[in-house]
Amino acid sequence: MGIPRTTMILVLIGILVFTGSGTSAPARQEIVIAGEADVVQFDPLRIQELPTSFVAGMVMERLVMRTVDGKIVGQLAERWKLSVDRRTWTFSLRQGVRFHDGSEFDASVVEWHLRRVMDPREGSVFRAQFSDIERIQVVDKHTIAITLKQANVAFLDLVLLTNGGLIPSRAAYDSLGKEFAFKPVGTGPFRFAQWVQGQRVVLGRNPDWWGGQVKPDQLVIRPITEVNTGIIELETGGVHFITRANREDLERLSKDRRFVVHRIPSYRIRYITLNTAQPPLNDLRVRQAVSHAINTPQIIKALADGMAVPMDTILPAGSAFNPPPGTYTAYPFNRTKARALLTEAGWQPGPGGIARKDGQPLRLVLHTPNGRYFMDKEICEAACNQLRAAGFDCQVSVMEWAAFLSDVRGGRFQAAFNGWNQSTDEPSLFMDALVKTGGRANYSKASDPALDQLLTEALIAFSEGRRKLLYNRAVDMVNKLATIVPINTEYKVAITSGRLEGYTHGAPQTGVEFVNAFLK
Amino acid sequence: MSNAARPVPLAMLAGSTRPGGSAFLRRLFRRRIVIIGVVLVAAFFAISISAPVLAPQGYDEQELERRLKPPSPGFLLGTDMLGRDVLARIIWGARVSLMVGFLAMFLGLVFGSVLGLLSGMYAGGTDRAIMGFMDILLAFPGILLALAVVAALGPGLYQVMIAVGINQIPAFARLVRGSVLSVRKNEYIEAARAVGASDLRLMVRHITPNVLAPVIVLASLDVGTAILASAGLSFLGLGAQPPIPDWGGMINQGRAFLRTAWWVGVFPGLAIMLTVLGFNLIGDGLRDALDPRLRQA
Amino acid sequence: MWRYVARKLLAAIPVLLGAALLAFMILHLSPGDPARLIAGENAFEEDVENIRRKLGLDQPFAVQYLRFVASSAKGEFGRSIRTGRLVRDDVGARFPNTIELAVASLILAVILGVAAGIVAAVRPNTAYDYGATFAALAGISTPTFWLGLLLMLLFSYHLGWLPASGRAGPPWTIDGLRSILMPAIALGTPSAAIIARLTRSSLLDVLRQDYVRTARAKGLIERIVIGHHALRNALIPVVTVVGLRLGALLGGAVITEQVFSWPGIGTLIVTAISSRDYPMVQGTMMIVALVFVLVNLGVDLLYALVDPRIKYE
Repeated sequence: MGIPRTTMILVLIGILVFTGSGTSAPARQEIVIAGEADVVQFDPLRIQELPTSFVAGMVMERLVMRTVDGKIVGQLAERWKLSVDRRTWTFSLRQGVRFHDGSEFDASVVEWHLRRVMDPREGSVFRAQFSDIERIQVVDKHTIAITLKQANVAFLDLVLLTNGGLIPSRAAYDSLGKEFAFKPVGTGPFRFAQWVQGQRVVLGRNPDWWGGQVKPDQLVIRPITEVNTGIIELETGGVHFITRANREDLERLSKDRRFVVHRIPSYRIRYITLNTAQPPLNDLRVRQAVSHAINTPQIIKALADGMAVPMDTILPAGSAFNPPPGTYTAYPFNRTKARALLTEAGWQPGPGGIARKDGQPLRLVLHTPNGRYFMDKEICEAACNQLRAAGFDCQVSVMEWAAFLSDVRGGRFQAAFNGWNQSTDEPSLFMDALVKTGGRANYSKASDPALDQLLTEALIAFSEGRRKLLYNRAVDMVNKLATIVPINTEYKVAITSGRLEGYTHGAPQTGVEFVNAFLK
Repeated sequence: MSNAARPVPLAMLAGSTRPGGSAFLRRLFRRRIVIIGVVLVAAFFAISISAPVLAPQGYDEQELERRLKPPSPGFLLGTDMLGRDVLARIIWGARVSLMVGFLAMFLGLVFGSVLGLLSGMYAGGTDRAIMGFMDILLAFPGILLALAVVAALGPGLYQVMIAVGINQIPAFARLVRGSVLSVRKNEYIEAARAVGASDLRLMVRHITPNVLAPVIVLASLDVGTAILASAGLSFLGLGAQPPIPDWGGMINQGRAFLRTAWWVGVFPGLAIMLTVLGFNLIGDGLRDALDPRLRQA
Repeated sequence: MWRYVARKLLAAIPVLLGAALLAFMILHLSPGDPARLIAGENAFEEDVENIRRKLGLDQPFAVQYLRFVASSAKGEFGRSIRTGRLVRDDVGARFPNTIELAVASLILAVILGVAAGIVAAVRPNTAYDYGATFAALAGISTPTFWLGLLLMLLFSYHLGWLPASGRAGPPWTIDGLRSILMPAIALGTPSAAIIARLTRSSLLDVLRQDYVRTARAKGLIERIVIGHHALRNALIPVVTVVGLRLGALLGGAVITEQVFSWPGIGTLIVTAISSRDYPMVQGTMMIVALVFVLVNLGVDLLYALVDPRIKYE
């Protein structure tokens, strides 16, 4: 009896000692950020997921960047001009910029990098986009000219603003070998210091940054995959910065003066794709019935208020290319109308409220990933419930991401909850991929030659007014097809500790958000 | 966690004489906590059978306006993020949990016993092949094997049952094989063989009754293990398809609201705990009652 | 004894290869294209094709498997499709953390389990016994992830005593110890319960043995009888179970790590399965299986050490 009692007392004392002692405040300015997952690898040619993009954007830079209000400005390029035939872009590079390893940034590095992205042996995931480039010419040490195969208004967005546009040090590539992908060397405000797998990535200040003084001594990015854990860490001071919270916590934290909620619209859209190759969705009226049956504003308000905003076109909510309200086809929630459309399509009300035709119930399976997008599964559960009330025998099918992607891309689905993430609202990034015939994410297999022609025209229309007009019309045409049920646009959200000052929220794709940040 | 309830001294039970009915029951119920176990399991069975009558609502009656309401007379255990009655979902969920637990256990029991019998009866190549395969299965941590199987089959109730059931096979196989080996050494088996009894006859007539007791103990503990393992898979987002209420999946959805609406995630966890506890209490009692060495305890 | 060790190790090789093959087959039966998963849903098909070629995913399955086996023979266990690193390096960076967590859980489990087991055995069929047994069974019956969430809510969120997640450092530092405490409790609870029950039954068994009766008859006080004579023998089966639990803990760590963002192989392998990273899954399975085998062997040897009646040829 004596032994365990002593042991237990010792354990208790131990617990008291450990729990009682807090961590001492670091003298240096160290900002701790919760990443949504661990980083993967830093070779820009293969960065496609968010956590790595976030870190890479602070270490490496592109020729150009987007500002918070959506303007494109120079980053490593000071200025650029477009030739008369609109095919050659000539960039004047920033002078005196050095990589973190001391090597010099100049036109030859840019040329090397672009050629590397286009080299089929390198296994770049951006090669297809970069293959628009016909010729790269180093004009002088600080000038580079890029000639395209054909004019393309959206070249900067489509090519240079991708992760493939991040420029790493050539010297690092030559000297690091296999380690190149794990020790990023760029020109950005923060230099890579350490990556302990699954635990943290540490970035140090770049004292020689061309953009001026960088305030924080250190940024520590900790992978915290659980939303819930991230919030507890923020509230207990374990991290200073998180990017996700459910609606209830968001409401609570925005009322709490110890925290600040930052929020700007993002260009991440969520929508339900209706597969036109599969009955019953090959019938336009059934697709319209689906659109009318789902009360999107209600679902998004209930499940994602503050994290996402409902939308009713294929372009991100708030995009300048959306037509003014009331001037385009839309499908507001209307259960009666949904039922009427079904009846018109030959689906008569049957037992249990489920519509039937030739004795067959109106089956609809809605595929969704789980946790890939904010509240994806829950949104689908709610949508399916409402579809059932309108007469569909709706089933949610939650799938593992790999299997989901494979089924959706292979056309093995009726309806699917999809997402499309871009870092700008350039409309061709959405339209050409999602609704153009043969578009790389046109999972609904819809095809409308008039729409295709319109979109091709819009890509070479260099007047802003003309482009807007064309895309306004395109939005209406897409909605008329009813192959996509727009659901929501996610906000770009950050919840920061009140101690964190000088953080600038917003600029997509850049590391400048933390340049002026410091802890009180 | 899937191996949580694997008891070690079970193998020692093999070959113990079969207890006589009423004496056995008396021994079983002498430990009062066994009664608690029986009551718990019976209660959850009753709940799951009478769910249509008992549940205040269907399990998918959403009402987004009343989401995340705390427990009140109208909703005894509150509502979830889609405005569904948590109590109703827990009651309907009892069916799901018990079904997964029993079917997964049954799968392990059937395949494990057959493999174990074969392995024990036919020494040599068959034995080595079967036990080698069991070693491979055992070398995977259970949850990882289940994860891989669900990746191949896709999420869903039956897939989870299969994934969890596969995990239970080696334990049954080893147990049965051990019992068979120890029974085979007995003289009466040799005698039966000598008078020309066939292998099949031997297995059915002499060996099966002897391995029955430890198998029953393992099976009763296994239902709990299987319920826990399937809850773990659901927690990783690979459980039953919505809107089917499965307790692990309810915790998974509820954990995001632990600070703002604790009832969504806490009550399903309690339900799992009580159900598994019931099976463990029974299994524990069965083992004590069957184990001759501990009878005086 | 060395011959015994060598024989056991040799016998493990087919198990390891079989484990890798099983992982390989299950994963290849799963829908999903690793090249597409790396390239992302935004990528063009030609880029995906390019990556598939570069990673050798266009080769027949048999070739892919044999390549992996050859690489494993070199101790590299293949190259991860997703990260591009050797599986050995990725696992090597994280596995020590999983082992650290498993061992910490086990230490906690042994302390609590043995203590509770003794309490129950010394006063069989009393309220103490029932209480301890009931607590132990409740411990086995609790889903570890749920327990972990509740612990986090209590000790981090409401009381602010312990950090909510992550690994703050090695466990011999105060910060490190604080960060491992909660995951270790969550993970160790079922083991503590199992050890408690085993200690109870084993001790009860020993207390009925002749030499204990003799000791009692000699008039030794109960504490010495139990502490010096009975406990030592009663703990022999406990030692075996402790070893076997280590294996179960490595598996249980998968979910606990997920809850507490613990940087072990749990998160690594969950990601590897979901991204169809074939070499990573195979390699991790092989390494985990190898550790299983080594642990079991260690237990065998330890058993011989504590129980002199057992000898290995």
